[in-house]
Amino acid sequence: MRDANLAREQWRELLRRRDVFGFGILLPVAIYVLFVGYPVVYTLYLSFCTWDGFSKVVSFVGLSNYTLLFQDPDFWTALGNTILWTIGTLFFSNVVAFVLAVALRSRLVYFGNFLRILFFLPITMSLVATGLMFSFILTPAFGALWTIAQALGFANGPDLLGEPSTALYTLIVVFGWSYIGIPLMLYDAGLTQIPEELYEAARLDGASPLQQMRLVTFPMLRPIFMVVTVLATIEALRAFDLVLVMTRGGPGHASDTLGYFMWVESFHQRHFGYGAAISIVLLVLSSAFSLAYIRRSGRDALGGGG
Amino acid sequence: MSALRGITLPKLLATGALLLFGAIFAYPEFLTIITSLKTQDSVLEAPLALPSQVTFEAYTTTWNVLQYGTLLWNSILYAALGAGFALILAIYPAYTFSRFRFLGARAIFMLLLTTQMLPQETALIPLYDALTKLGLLNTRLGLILIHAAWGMPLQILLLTGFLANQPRELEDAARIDGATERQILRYVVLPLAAPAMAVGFLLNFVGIWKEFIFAITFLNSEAVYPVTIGIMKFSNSRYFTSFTLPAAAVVISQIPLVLLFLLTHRWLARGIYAGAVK
Amino acid sequence: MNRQSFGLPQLTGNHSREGSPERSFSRRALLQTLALVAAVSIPTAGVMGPAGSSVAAASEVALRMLDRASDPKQTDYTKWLVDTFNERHKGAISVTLETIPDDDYHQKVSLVLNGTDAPDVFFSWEGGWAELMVQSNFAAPLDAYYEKYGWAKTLTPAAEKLATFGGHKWFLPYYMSASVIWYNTDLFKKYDLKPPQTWEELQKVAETLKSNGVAPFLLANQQQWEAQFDWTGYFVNKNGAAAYQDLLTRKIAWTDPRVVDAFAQMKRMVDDGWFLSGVNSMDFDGTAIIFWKRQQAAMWYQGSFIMSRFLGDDGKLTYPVDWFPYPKIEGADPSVSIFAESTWMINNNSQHKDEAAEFLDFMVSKEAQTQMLTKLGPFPANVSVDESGLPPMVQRLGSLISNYGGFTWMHVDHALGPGVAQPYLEALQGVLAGTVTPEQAADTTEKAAETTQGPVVK
Repeated sequence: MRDANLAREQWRELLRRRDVFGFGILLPVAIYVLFVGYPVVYTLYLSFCTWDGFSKVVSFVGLSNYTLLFQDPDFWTALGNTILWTIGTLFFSNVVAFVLAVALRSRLVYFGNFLRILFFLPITMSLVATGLMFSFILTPAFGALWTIAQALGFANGPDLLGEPSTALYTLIVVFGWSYIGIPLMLYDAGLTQIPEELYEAARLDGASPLQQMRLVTFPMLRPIFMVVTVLATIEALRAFDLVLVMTRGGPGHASDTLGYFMWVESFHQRHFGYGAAISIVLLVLSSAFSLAYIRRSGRDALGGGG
Repeated sequence: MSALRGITLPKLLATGALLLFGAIFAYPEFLTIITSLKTQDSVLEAPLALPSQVTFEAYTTTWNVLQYGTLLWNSILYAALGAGFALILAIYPAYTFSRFRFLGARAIFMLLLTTQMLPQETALIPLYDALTKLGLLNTRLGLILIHAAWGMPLQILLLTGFLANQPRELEDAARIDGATERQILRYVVLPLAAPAMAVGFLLNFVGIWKEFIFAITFLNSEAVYPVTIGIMKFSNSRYFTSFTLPAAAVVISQIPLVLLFLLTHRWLARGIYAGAVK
Repeated sequence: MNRQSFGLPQLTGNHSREGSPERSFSRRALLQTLALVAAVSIPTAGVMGPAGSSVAAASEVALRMLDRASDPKQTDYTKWLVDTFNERHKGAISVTLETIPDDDYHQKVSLVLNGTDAPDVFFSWEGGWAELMVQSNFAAPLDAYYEKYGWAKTLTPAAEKLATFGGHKWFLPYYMSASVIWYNTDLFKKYDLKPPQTWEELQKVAETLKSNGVAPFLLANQQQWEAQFDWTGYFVNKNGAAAYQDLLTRKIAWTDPRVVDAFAQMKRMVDDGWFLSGVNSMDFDGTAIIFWKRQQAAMWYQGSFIMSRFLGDDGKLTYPVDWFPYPKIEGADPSVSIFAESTWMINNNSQHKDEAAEFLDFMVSKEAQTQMLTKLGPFPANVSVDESGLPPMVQRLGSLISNYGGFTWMHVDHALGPGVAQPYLEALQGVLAGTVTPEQAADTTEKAAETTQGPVVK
C-alpha cells in the first residue's frame, strides 16, 4: 500500500513539474510511439496471423506461427548463430578493442595516432562494401588468403565461406573487423580520463602493472564497458547485411542469423506472419539482455535509483 | 643519438607487433583503394596486384554518372539532421531518467533498450504505412524523422548514463542560487555533458551514414537518395560486373566519416565520460 | 555518489514553477529545431516528392515505372527509354522511373503495390512470381493490348507463350534468355575437343579437361541460385521436359527417385571434380568471371544473359567463347530452356492503363529493342531487331530463340516462385556442401511444395 502511495506521489510530483515534464518529453514520446512503438505492436499482431504481403486478407492463426517456429530446425540454427554472433562481437569489442586501446595508450607504442585512424577506418566502410571486399579476399585460387597459403607450401588454401563449419565464424570475424573502431574509440577516450595519480598511488602501494590494471583501470572503465556492451549487442542482434552479401545464410543454413532468417521468410518466402514471429523472438531475446543490463547497471544508469 | 635514447627493445617489439596487426587489419581497405585506382581489365588479370598505371577513371565516372555530389549532400543532411534531432529529443527524457525517481522508470528504460535491438527490416511495412498517412513518403523530412526516432533511444541511454554519474554539487549550488531547473539544465548540466552528447551524435551519425534499407524503401527518386544507394547502383549484378566502380564509390563515401573522426577524436579524448570516470 | 534522499531534486528558493520566462525554453528550442529540419529538408525535396521539379502540365498523364537491377548499364538504357518516350509524348504522357536492385526489389515491391502511390508499370519475373502477381490482383490482363499493338507478331513465339496462362496474357517480355553450355574455344582447341552431343561425349570431354588440370564446369553458387541451372539441365534432359512439367505442376512429388537422383548427380559432379573448388563461396556477380578469364574452367551452363560479360562495348567478343545445347542423356529429346529474363506488367489498379500500354509498346519497338541490344546485350524479345552486327555464334543463338517453336521450360526459381524455390535452392546448396543428403533435399522441397502448392495430384 505504502509503495503504491509513494509511486502515485512520485508521478504526481513529476507531472506537476511543468518545467521538466512538458513538450521536451511529450514530443519524443510521440515520435517514439509513432515510428518505433507502432511498428513493434504491428509486428506482434502480425505474428499471430498469416499474410503473403500482397493479398488484402490477413488471417488470424493464433499461436501457430510460434509452434511451427519452435519445431523448425532452421530457426534453432539461426538462434544459435545469433547468440554466437553476439558473443563474438562482445569479444571483439571488450577484449580485442580493449587490449588495443591499452596498447595504444601504453607509451610503448609509436605511431599511436596513425594506428588509431587505421583501426577506425573499417567502421566508415558500408557493410555491403565490407562484405564484397572480404569475399574477394577469401575467394579460393586467387584470393589473398589462398595466395598466402600457397606461398607457405600448401596445395590449397581454405575455403572459409564455402565450408559450413567455418562460414559463420568467418562472418563474425569480418563483423568484428568492421565494428572494432567504435569500442576502440570509446575505450581509448576513457583511458585518457583516468587520473595519473591513481596509478601512482597504486604503484606506491607496490602494485604490479597487472594489479594496476585490475585495481585502477577496470573499475574506472566500468561505465564504458557497459556502454560498449550495449552498443555491440544491439549491432550483433540485428546482424543482417554481411550475411546477405557474403553467404546468404549458406552453405545451406549454416550461417543464418535471426535477422537474415526473418528477412528471407518475410520478403522472399512471403511468410510475413512467420517472419514477424521471428522478430518477436528476437525482441524477447533482447529484452532478456536489457533486463540483465539494467539489473547490473540500474543503479548507475538511472539516477533516481529504482 | 639523443633522439634514439628512448627507444628500447620492448617498445620496438610492441610497435612492431601492432604495426603488423595494423597492416593485416588495413589490408581490405588498402585493397579497396588500389582496386579503385585500376582499370577493370587489370583487376581481372591480377586482382591483388598494385596498379601498374594509376587511373582516376573510376572516380570521375562515379562522380559524374551517380551525381555523387547530390548523394553526398543528401547523406550529410540525413546523418546530421537525423542524429542531431535524435540528440535534441533525447535531452529531456535523459534528464528526467537521471534526476527523478518514479515507478516504471526501469520498465520504460528497458523498453527503450529492447526496441533498439529490433532489426530494421521488421519495421518496413508499418513505417511505410505511417509515412504514407503523414504524406511524408519520398521526402527528406520523412526519412530524417524515422532516423531520429530510431536513433533517439540509444542517445537517451548514453546521455542518461552520463548524467546519472555526473556530480551534483554544481547543480545544487545553482539551485541554492535560485536557478530554475531549465536554467540548470541549460547552463550547468548540458555544457558538462557535451562530450557524451557528441559521442551519441557521432555513433548515430555513422549509423545513418551507412544505412540503406530505410532509404531504399521510403525514397523513390534520385534527387533524394543517399550515397549508400549510389554504391548499390554500382555494385555487381547478374548482368554487370565492375570491381573498380564500387570501390571508388565506397572510398568517396568514407572520406566524410574519416574527416568527422579526425575532427572530433582529440576533443572526445579530452572530455568523454569526464563525469563517469571520476 | 551524491544522491537526494527523495528522488526529486530539492527546490530551494521561491522561484515559480509555472509562468516563468524559461517555461517555454524547451518548447521554443524544439520548435526551432523542427523548423530548421523542415526548412532544410522541404524546399529542396518538396514534401510530396521531388518529382515535382518537372511540374506536369494539367492534361499530361503522369506514369510511374518501377524497375529492378540498377547497374549502370541498365540505368543508362532505361534513362534513354524514359527520356526518349517523354520527349515524343510531351504534353501527353510523362514517365518517371525508379530502379531498385534485385535484392531489395522483393521488399520494395510488396510495399509499393499495396501503397497509395503504386507504379503504373512495374518489372515482374515470369512464371511463379507472375502468377503471384495475378492472384494478388496487381496484374492487368494485357490481351486487348496484345491485340491492339500486334505484340504477338512483334515478339518471339516463346515470349508470347510464357506470357499466357490461365487464359490471359499477363506481361510483356522484353529481355529473353536461353540456357546453353558456353565453352572456352581456346581450351577446346588446345585439348582437341569437340562440342559433345551426348552425355557420354560430355563425360569424355570432362575427363580430358580434368586430366589437364582444368575444371570442366564453372559453378558460382554463393548466391544459391546458380546450381539450379545444372540441376534442371540434367533433370530435364535426362527425364524429358514432360516429366519436369509434371514435377512443377504437382503430378509427381519431389521425393520421386528421379528428383533424388538429380540432387545426387550434383553431389557426384562436385565430388568428381567437375567444378572448381569453392562452388558455394564463388560469387557469380563478381569473382566468377575472373576464373573464366583465367581459363580455369572450360564450360559454363548458364543463361545467355551472361553474354554481356563476353562482349565488349562495341559488340565484339572479348573472350574466346562459343556455345552448344545441353547434350541429350540416354536418348531423351534434348530441349533448350528459353525464358523471359525480364518482363513488364501493367498495374491492375492503374488509372492510366492505355497510356501505360503505349509506353510498353514503345519499349518493345524495334528502335527501343535495338538500343537495348547495344546497351544491355542480347537478346531482345522483338524478332525484327537486326542482329547481323553480332558475332556469328550470338546470331546462331538469337535465331534459335526467335524461331523456337518447341516446348520450353523455366528453371525452378522462375517456374515456381519463392515459396518453393527458396527452400529448394538452400537445400541444393546444402547438398553441394555435403551437409544435406539428396533425400533430405527432396524432402525439404516436397514439404515446401505441399504447403505452397498443395498435395500431389495423380
